[in-house]
Amino acid sequence: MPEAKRPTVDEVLAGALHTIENQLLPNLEDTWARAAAGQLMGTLEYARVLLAGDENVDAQVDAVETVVGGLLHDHPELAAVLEGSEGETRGFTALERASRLLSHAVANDSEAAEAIRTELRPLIVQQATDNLNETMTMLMAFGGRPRRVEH
Amino acid sequence: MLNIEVARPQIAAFLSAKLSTDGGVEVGPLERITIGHSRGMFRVNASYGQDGAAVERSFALRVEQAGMFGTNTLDEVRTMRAMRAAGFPVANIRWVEFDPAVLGTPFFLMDWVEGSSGPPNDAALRDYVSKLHGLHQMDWRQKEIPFARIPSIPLDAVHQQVDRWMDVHRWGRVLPEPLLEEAATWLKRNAPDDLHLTLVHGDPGPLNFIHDGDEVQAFTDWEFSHIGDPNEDWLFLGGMRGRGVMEPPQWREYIADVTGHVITKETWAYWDVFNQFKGACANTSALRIFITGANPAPNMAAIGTALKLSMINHLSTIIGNSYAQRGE
Repeated sequence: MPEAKRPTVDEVLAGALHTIENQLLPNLEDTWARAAAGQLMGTLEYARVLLAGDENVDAQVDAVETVVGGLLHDHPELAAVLEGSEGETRGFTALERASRLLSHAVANDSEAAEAIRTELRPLIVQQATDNLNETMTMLMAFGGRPRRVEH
Repeated sequence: MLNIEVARPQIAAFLSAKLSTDGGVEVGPLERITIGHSRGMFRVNASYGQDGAAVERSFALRVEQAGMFGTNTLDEVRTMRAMRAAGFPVANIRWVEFDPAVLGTPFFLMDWVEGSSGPPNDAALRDYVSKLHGLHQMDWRQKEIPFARIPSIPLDAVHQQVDRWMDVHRWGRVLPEPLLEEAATWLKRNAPDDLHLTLVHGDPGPLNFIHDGDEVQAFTDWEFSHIGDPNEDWLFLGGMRGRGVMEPPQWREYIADVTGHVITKETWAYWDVFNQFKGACANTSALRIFITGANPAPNMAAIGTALKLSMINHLSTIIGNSYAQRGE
């Protein structure tokens, strides 16, 4: 395992959070500036979450591609729904295809549509929930209320 | 992003050119008005001499932010002026400037309206709901309000607004959001039968009106206004912006009590999805504004990610429930 530089990025972020909370905020009186400081703490905490986890969408895209591939295998007629759905990146294409399939399922009661609702939709909902949880620190700080920094 | 320290002398020069004064206008430190994220809002305190007398006067400065929410100054100003001319409580717009050489972005200046945009008392809240109902009762066809889109039939209005907000989302997004694309189709397929065409404010509720004592002085934030169904406004008020005042079921009863406008639970659920969709699409624009550096402030990052995702979470749950009910 590679050896980290000192201080690490996470230590720098933790120090910045501590400084905003304990040295800057107590001396800020302007309401907008206080809100911005709290929101900045939320984005720095989000950066720490990213550092500790996964900053890219590759795993989510892999999962979407697998489910979409399975749907196309079982219901070849869905290929017509995806015609012309290629995007500039693999992630864009996968999510564009998922978008087309979910929209198709809204207006259909076919077996294929039911498969989209039961196989693809739960995955997309779960990924959206995961993304929300990952960014939750920013939402919690949106009103400008800073929280205690956890080291 | 407006740098107020740079902007202050430029605003003084702008006002000096616009106002008839003895020797130019002095502008005090700009005061950020701490409401809203769609525009930069500032109180401008100007002082000048006029016919030998000293004048102190305040204006509200409203500044565009790089395409935030996909709205623009021209449409908002035209609507506000038309509504004021129709006798509705709207601040008087003194000057509009589109030349980027002045502040770097379009802006307009309004006469300062005294009052508060904070929590209203019971009478002011009732006055607000009554006036919003009055807005919906206006004969908009006689007012010649210059909206960019005028629907032909009520269902057309729903489709226009869904497409409008999807365009804003697609402008701001990095990757497609399948649940928003699904919602767009769901909204078009499941629109209620009893739609109407009225003026719609689009962003009503606490913080978006100024009140003084028991009375509303001005409706603010008109950039979402359009012709559509009034329940869009009632759900925006009762399902989103007004939740700090009371919970949605209480709002539904309160609206019926004050206005006589009864909203069924099914209609309430539909317009709840619509407004969550609208909010999520609009909020996506903040993502582009943040990552391009047009406004790198942390509120842009939060709006473009977490706030948007919380709305997607909400609407996808309602749509998922509709599938479950269909299968029962």
